[in-house]
Amino acid sequence: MSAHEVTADVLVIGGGAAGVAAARAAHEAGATVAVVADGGGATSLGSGVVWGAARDPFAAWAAGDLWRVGGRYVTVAGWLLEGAAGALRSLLDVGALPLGGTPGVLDLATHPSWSARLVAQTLGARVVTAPDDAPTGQSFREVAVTLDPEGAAEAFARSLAPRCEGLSGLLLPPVLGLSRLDVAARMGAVLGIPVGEAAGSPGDPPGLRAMRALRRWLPEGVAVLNDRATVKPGRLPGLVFRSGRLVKTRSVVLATGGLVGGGLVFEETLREAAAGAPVWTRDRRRVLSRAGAARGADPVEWFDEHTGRARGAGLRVDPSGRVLDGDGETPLGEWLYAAGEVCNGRGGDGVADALADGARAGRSAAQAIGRRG
Amino acid sequence: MTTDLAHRRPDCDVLIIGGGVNGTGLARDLSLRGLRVILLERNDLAFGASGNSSGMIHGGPRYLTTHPSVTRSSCVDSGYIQTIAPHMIFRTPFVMPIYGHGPVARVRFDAFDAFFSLYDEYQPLKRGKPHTRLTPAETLTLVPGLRSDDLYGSVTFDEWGIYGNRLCVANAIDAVEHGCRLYVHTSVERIVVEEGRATGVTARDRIDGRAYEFSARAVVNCTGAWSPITAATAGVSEHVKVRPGKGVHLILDRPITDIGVMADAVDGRQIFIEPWGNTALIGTTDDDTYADLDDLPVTTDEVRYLVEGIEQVLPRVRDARIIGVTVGARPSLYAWGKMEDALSREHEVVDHAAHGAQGLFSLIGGKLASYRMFAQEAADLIAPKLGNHAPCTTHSAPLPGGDRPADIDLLAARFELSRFAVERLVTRHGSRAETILADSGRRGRMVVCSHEPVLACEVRWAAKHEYARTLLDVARRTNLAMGACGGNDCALAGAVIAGEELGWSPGEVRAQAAELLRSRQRSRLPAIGDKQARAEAMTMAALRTLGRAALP
Repeated sequence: MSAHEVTADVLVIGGGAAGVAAARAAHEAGATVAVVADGGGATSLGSGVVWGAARDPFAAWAAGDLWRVGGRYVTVAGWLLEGAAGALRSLLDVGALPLGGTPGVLDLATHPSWSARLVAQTLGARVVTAPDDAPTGQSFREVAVTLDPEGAAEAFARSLAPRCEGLSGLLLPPVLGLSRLDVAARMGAVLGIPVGEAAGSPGDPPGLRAMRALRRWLPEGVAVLNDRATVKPGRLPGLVFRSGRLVKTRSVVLATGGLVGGGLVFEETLREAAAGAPVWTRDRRRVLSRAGAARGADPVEWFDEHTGRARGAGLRVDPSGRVLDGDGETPLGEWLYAAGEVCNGRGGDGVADALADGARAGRSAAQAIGRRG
Repeated sequence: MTTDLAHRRPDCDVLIIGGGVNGTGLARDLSLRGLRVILLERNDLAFGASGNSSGMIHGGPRYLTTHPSVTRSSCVDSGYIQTIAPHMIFRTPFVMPIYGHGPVARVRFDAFDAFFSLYDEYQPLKRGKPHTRLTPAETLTLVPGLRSDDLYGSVTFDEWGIYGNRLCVANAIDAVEHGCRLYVHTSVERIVVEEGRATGVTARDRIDGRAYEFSARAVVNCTGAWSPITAATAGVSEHVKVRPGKGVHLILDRPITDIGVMADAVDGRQIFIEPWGNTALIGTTDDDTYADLDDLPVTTDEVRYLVEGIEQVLPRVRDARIIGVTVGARPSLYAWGKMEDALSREHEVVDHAAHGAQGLFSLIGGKLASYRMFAQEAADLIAPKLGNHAPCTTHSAPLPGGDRPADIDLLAARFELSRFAVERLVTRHGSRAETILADSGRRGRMVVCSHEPVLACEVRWAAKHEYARTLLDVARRTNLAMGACGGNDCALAGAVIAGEELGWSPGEVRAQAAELLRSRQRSRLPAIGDKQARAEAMTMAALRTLGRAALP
């Protein structure tokens, strides 16, 4: 086998929440797995919060595991989990803070969307003035970068310690680590109280960190290829990639994301990028486009011009996650599955759903191989 | 309903309804004359046509052959506006390319040449430069990327641009500084007419629901396209006839040309693209509209009409991304049956004394470029009736910030800011930029919106001193979220700062940020294309985050 040739029972295209969950589930079901990833999408540009994680048993399975990665702090490996530590009540998971105490909110000079005064007012918390030598930066990322290196978070925490006496916890803007997952834990260990952070906006450290935590969650032995694939339904087991690499596989999970991730692209109409699979309107009544038969769709098909809300659109899958053809009944290929944003086109924060869909599709893909022999 | 408005000491001399350029201009004029004025605006200052125009203080060359008096008055007033608000106007030369060959093209070229020679007569009134004739080579040097095949030559002419929003705000603030009381988001429910006299209004705050009753010695309806609706509350709507013409502009993510370029639309109308700060503006459509004036729709057809017209002369317009669509309804004077374009933008002050409502006036028509003169005409009519014979001073008294030039380099050095950020601040605030910067700490000088750019202290200033009550109001005053990111980077930050000033709860802060994002997104939807789709998905993600992280 050449370096450019990979063999895997299940090939997952996409390395976001849906893709990682699919890879993990397929691996747990006994299949060999490879993941193809090509840049960040909605998961890395999300808020770093898994909303509604407890709603779906699959998501609870996925989320529960993530929760254990980092310990007991509000921000755990970049994720805030609704339900895991009480009701999510605010910008931050105040439910995870010890009851009865007074938390502090750090008045750090950073992106103007951070107002310690405003947050403290809501939480009944105390504003903690930052020391003069506290890290500053126009963006949360700049601050996060300064806290990443070995010892930096600890030193910062030590300078904060005199100001945190009597507090039950300390809340920061979303700056607790960009490339590292343990900044909250390191600061908490020095201060002896939980350290948490606000949820981020798209592009802020929590989302980027969440992506990192997810990748770390991939099982040993799952190959990750930085590449981009084009899938031709009915042409397995070999897929050729942009790099010229050949992947021999028996099943494919499209976890390519929606508009943000690039799984769906908008050119005259909304189109699925990797396989040209039929894209349905959100109500699943009409096909917007399919390979070789793109029907020009006015944007109003996709956006509600009046409310400005997205109607959404995406692939249609059966209960096991198999992609359906334009008739809405027949699978497009026995071996083609899809999960995550590419199925609903909502764009954004549906991480819990993506984890659940991904796990389901990955498991189905692995089990179907067993049945097919 | 009876009120005692007629029997008590009036709350003001003149009550003005409408915070567009006519209303704010008149409020300023009357306040400077020493009259006590109340100004009520149903939405926000510059919400309608004034804030959604092409922002040109042009001399009205399109009226040159049909209504030369409009051209003349526009040019004279343009000169005055340059005197009183030099900081917010900028020179915008235009080139009109002429295509074709042989005698046909030559006749066309000569006709435009002659036309602009005529316009040159008026140019000195507004410090404009005379027109020039350019060869194809000269034209292409001036506007690289212009379609060159078949180019016969071009004619240039000189105009001035202005920020319509800021013009209204400056007039309103100057009025307030001379005693005017300003209420935004306050809608007049009824003009009270008792015994043949307009004695005041009843109004309601559209944000907190508070009811008001104001008595006045005179009431002036300056509500532009809304004028007939306002007049109807006094029963005089049949004497207030406007023909609302919908005008759509597109905002591009970058200037793409240093010079304005004229083009023919598919129906032969003249449209244009002009550099506009960090962006470019394409305009304008002109269609009768009967839609809800508070919420005018824009269709994908209107966007295509404009883009396809400009594409004929400047193909690279396709490479730019449309980051916003603005729409306003021109309050053109009504004339039956004419084509929209042939309607005059001339203005008229209607005295409703003859219609059974003494002391009630309506300002109809008008245009941004001659707002000052219109306000003066109205004030000259109204003030003497109230026993005030003070002269008009609005042509010489500077608007706020227009009293002296600001030293951009000095401010940039003193406050450790980029020259660019200071320059944009000065464009909006003139000499007051220094006060705004000096009032703020280091954090106040952080950039909130890097595309415009907008500083934290400017957002705070708008909330504190410029009567902004929502984040959209702040955006109208500062250009927040008008840049390439469409608010994704700055909506929340802007809301936090405005919220600190206006006492918003964190939940309200998020709601205001979401409203701004939603409003900007809505304005882009008719122009959605492959370049914008991914960004729209990002905005939706941001909106969902804001919505779900709502605080108690």
